[in-house]
Amino acid sequence: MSEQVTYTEDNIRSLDWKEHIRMRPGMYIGKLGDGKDADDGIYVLLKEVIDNSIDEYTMGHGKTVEVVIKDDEVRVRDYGRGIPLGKVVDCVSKINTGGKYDSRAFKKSVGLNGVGTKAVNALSTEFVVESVREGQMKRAGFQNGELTDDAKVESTTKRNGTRIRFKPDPEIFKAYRFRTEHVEKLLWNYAYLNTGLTLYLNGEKYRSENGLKDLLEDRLDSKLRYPIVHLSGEDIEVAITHTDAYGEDYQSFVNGQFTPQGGTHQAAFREAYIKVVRDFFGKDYDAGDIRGGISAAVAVKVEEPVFESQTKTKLGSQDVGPNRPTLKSFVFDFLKRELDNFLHRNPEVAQALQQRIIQSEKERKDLAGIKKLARERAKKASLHNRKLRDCRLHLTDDKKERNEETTLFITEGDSASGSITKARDVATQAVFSLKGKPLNSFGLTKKVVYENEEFNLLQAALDIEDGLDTLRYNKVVVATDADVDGMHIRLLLITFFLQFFPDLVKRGHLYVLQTPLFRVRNKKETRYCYDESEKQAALGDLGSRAEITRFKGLGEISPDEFSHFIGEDIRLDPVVIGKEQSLQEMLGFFMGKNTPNRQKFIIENLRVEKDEVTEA
Amino acid sequence: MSENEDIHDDERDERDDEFAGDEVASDAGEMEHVVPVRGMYNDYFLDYASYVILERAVPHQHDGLKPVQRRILHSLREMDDGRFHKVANVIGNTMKFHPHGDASIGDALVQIGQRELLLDCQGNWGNILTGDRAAAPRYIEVKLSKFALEVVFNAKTTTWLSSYDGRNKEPETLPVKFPLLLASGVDGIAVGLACKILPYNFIELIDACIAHYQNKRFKLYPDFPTGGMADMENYNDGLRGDRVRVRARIDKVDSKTLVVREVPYGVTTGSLIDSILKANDKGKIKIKKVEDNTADKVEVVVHLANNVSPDKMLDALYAFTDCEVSLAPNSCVVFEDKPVFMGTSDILRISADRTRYLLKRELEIELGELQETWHFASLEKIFIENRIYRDIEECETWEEILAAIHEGLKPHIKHLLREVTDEDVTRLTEIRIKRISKFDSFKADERIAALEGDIDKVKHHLDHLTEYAIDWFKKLKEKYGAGRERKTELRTFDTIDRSKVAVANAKLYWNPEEGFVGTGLKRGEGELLGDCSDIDDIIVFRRDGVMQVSKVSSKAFFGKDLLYVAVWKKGDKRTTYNVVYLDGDTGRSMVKRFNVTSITRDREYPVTKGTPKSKILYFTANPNGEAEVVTVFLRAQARLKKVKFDLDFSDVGIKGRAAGGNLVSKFAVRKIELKEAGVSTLGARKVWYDETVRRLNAEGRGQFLGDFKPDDKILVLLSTGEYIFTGFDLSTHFDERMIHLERFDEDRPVSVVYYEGEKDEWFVKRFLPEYSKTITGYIGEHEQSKLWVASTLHHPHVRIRYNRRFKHTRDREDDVLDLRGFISVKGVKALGNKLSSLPVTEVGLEPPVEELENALEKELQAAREADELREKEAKNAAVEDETEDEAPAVEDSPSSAVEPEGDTAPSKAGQGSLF
Repeated sequence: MSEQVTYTEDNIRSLDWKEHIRMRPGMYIGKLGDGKDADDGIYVLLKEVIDNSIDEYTMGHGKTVEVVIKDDEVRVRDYGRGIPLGKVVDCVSKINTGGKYDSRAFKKSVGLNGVGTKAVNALSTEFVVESVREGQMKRAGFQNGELTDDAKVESTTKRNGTRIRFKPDPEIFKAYRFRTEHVEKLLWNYAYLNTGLTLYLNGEKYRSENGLKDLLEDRLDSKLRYPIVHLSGEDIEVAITHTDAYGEDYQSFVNGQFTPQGGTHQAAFREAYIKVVRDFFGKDYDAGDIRGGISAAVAVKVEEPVFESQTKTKLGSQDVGPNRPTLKSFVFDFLKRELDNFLHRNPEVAQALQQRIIQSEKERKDLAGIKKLARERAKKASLHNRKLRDCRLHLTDDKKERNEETTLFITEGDSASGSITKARDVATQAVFSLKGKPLNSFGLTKKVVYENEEFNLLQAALDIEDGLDTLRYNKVVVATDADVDGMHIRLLLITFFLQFFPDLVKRGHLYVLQTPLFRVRNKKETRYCYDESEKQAALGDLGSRAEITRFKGLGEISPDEFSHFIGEDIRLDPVVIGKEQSLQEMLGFFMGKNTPNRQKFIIENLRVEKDEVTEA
Repeated sequence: MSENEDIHDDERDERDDEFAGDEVASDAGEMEHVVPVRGMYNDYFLDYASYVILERAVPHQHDGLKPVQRRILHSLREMDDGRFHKVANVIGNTMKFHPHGDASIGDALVQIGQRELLLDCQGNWGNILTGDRAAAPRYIEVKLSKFALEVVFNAKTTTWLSSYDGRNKEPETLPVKFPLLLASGVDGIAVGLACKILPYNFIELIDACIAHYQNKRFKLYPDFPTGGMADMENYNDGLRGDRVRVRARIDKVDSKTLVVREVPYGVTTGSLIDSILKANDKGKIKIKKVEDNTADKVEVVVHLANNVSPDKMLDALYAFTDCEVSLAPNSCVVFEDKPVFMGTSDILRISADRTRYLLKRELEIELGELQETWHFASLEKIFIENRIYRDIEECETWEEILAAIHEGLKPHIKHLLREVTDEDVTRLTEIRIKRISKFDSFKADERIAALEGDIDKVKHHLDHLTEYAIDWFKKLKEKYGAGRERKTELRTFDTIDRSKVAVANAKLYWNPEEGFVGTGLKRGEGELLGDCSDIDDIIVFRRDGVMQVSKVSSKAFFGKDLLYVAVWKKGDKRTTYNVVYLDGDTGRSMVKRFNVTSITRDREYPVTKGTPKSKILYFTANPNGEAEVVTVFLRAQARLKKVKFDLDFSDVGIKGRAAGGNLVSKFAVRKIELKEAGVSTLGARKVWYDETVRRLNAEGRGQFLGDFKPDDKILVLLSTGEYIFTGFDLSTHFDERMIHLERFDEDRPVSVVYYEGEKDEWFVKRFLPEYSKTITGYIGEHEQSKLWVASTLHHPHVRIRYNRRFKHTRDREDDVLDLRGFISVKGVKALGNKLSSLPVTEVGLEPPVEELENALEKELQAAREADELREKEAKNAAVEDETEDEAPAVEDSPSSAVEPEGDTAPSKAGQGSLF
């Protein structure tokens, strides 16, 4: 029988601010993670700190922001006005304290609610803030949010501004490491959205002169159909172009905050763009044709923005501000005026755009015949997708708490689907099993997604035929064996997504499941190791006489063991598109026809592996 | 300071030292990286590509085996007990080393078995000729062949690796003492590269190895287990870019049947028949039926449709079906852990060197073992003979025993090769008493001497390693070479002009009024012109004098009022167009004759002077350059006396298309009528025979056969004692039975020496061949009968060699005999005269005696000329009366370009006049 629980005044607790943050960090910074994902907690901490510096810049103070990350320690220094010296401690440790509440200028700021730095403080083992104002400096130090060093104001020769140093708490962010690529991307977004601002990351400079135009340029990897259209007005900036890639690609921002999941501003842009283009050409083009291959960046400023979550990844505001027009009409009016004028002034761009639209239209009509067959299949698939073992929740269930945990494992043949099915959490984890090797989709047209049954069912399982809005899983995980054929299947699958659903990759939904490399076992125990050091550790535990084998396939793992590989400690490698490369060129090289170049590359980089028998 | 300057004011000044210093960058940079997608591709791709290249698709240079093959062989060796094993069990055992599916192992095993070199197979192992698959692994059985056991394995010279799960060991490569890779060939598609090595001949490979040891040059050409014929013109050591054309061997059985006797490499009878049916469906060839009568040998019977030339069809089979395939070798092996593109001769050299190295290693190991045995045998002898075992009686500890024996041995061991060790001594202490008591020193000496003999032999081999290796290969050839002779004949192929052999598979229609031509004109749209092939060109003439060549299409427009349309062959020098046209500028009518041999497609060319209102008045197309006589009617005019005259086209020279031509008349022409059909003005066709491709040609390659008139025939003498006639069509095939061919001269006798099987006698006969459409035999029908000499020389001399085993012919010298003097010309079926009463073993034709031949040739020539003269005189007398009409007014003098010795036989070919 359960123990009798007493419920008295003693049970009622009011949590200290920092206790609350440390107890429920998710409420403040979203997920925790170890830094492998771009939306892991440590990047939110970094962002909260930098946001304050950016706000200073927006106000016209301090054109430089310094960021230094060394191991687990982060330092951020701006040359703004500095926090008023008397309120330094309050500002970083008293909830609902800040200078942004009444100032009109701060209305279009993101870190409005005054939680930001406090959360960072509370979640750091060390947190030191220094504020310099006119030759005077105030320093305060904290540990896990507790004030430990409240120094006297002293004089200094340093420039005005604020310097914050913190170390995220490894007990909360387990084994975290900052990843250069994610930090870089963060800083670039600041640079793009704040032209004239210079950021330094470990001494390296980040600066953009052309704002969103630079963003698009740096981001795009395929050929542009026309030069980027870059328009800006008060509280809004857009950059638009079309490429030959499939799908739509948007980067949207609110008050300098990147909103990977879009929101009302992005929706307003998509809608308005269609309208303006249709009006300009005087033709009722299909919306999908107009947007097919579009790549655009949109940044708006909204007073007192409302987000759909604390992590601010999706804008929810309906209006641009109190007593101001709705976002919808604001964006439309802007585009109607500026884009329409632009197209009139630049007929060659208008012509290129129209050609792209007509191309999409043609491709769509070409697909029509197959789509009929596909629809029949889809009907069947909607009745029952026989490759899919679904989970209960889906990404589209906005209201459910765990919808962002939803994961689809794409497994290779029979080797793992059985085990994963048995070991999975049926609420959030679904399994899609491939039979044999999928087709190499490089150089193929989207037709194949309809013709090839497996691809068609995969598309149906993900529900991404008409764009990512309906994506049913937050994570799409390629779970193949760690053997060479598994490597090949990974290549083929990533190629499939890059070729036909690049947005899915660009938005960071695609992952590769890390699988163990070694199995170490003695008669009693079996351990799976991901790398050499883990193998040595296991050898230490199990004794040197343990049998070590190179791990061959997921089929070797029993279902009960498998739950470790896809549970809490799941190890996922995100598929991230780097900045410098051209995707088409890369795909052509690796997945295209044999070329002397590729042959040379292979031969020069051949990997040889041999186990010689030690005792003859 | 202005606002602007403030921005550009070097920000370094503004920044804290902590951040601006150089050490920031170097100090930091500890951040980890996310592997971007390119890195993933790089990583996964290299893993996969490396594996497929090194562990799957490409054979290793050392043993010529892919990993799966090596593991199968190793597994078979492991299981080997001299009995057959079920293939399913072999597959299971192989899985200890090869962590892949059973089907892939089974397929690889069957493939090795089908090469019939390394494995002895029991049961249905499939058929490479028909493509039949092997029975299921649970039925068929296998064991290693004697050859494999002798050549492929030696545990002592093998480097071992640990198997994938660490529980077994497997060979890194097998110590194969033979160029196995080249003998079996290989096909492998890896990532980024493919490997294709064609198979070579077992015996030739051995010869090449020996040649290599002797520093001689050698050249290897592929040899296919399926036989066939191969053209190696573009073969260069099997490297990338090489091409080997392989053809099926096809016999012409009769004019309606072709039989495929051998298929090209990689083609099965099934796939061959499919390709034939496909070509037939496309109309490229015309056949009635194909039958697969393959048993142990290939026999695909192709029944041809009526009215197609078997020679042309034979070419068409090569051109449009898998009867000819082109193989593209790309020789690649794994060498020192890298794929290396290496020519076959290098592969052979390395393989031969490795064989020699392995033989040396074996000898060295054997030597070591022999020396060990000898060492201990010697020790034992010393130990027992000198009763050293007695020395240990007093010893109390083991150390003392060892020391005592060492001491006892000491005086006797100077001749030993190495120090005596404690182990040796321990072994000595283990000798049984019984052995000591029964010790026979004589026998021991004998044994030691035998060992010394063996050691000397091995040492001798080591000193003469190359000779030893040569002997090794000679022995292999002797033991296993039987039945492994070359199967594929190496020849040079002619190139087949596809458009010349394509069957007319479409009907060509035209609508001259509307100007449409095509194969797709619907009923009512045009009238039938005739057959054509869809890869033909057509030539079109319009009444306004414009000409054009174009590809056959389903419907094309050439301008209204078409005059003439026909299939056009490039380089056709015989078809001659005879034209009279009106020049619109001057109103004169002109006559010209021309060929169209080469031309730009789809371009309009005028045959008139191109002036407006020009038009063609008279037109004929003459396939053999015939020149007719026409009557020209002028429009009646006051001053014109003569309104009608004849025009003989043979007075007009054949010139280029662009020539203006000769004047016919200044006056308007009313009409032109054919008066007399034309005869060819072209010379006889010169024909040569090219021995290398066994084809006729008109380009002067090979042996000149003579000037051929349309009805001329070629006489072909066959090795079977038969002859046959063929036309001089350039597509004619001559098979390997052909021993002589020449233009048929009915007055030229054939002289023959043959052995008559029934009578068991040698005969000589001379006869005049009679023209016949079928094969004619002339040496009787007994199956032992054999043709020895057949010649059309005027004075054939033969050398007769007698059988010297008989007493009366022992010292008999060879006789040389002029057959012309021996017997007079008789009938084809005559038996002839006995060659000799003495026993004959061999008869051979001597080189022709030039003077005799020439003298007779001259005589004949004189006689022929006399005949012709007589004939001509008779003819002239007959036509004298008719040549009264006035010759037409001619602007240029008639050309003398018409070849003077134009033959006078009326051509049978029809003329293409449209009037």
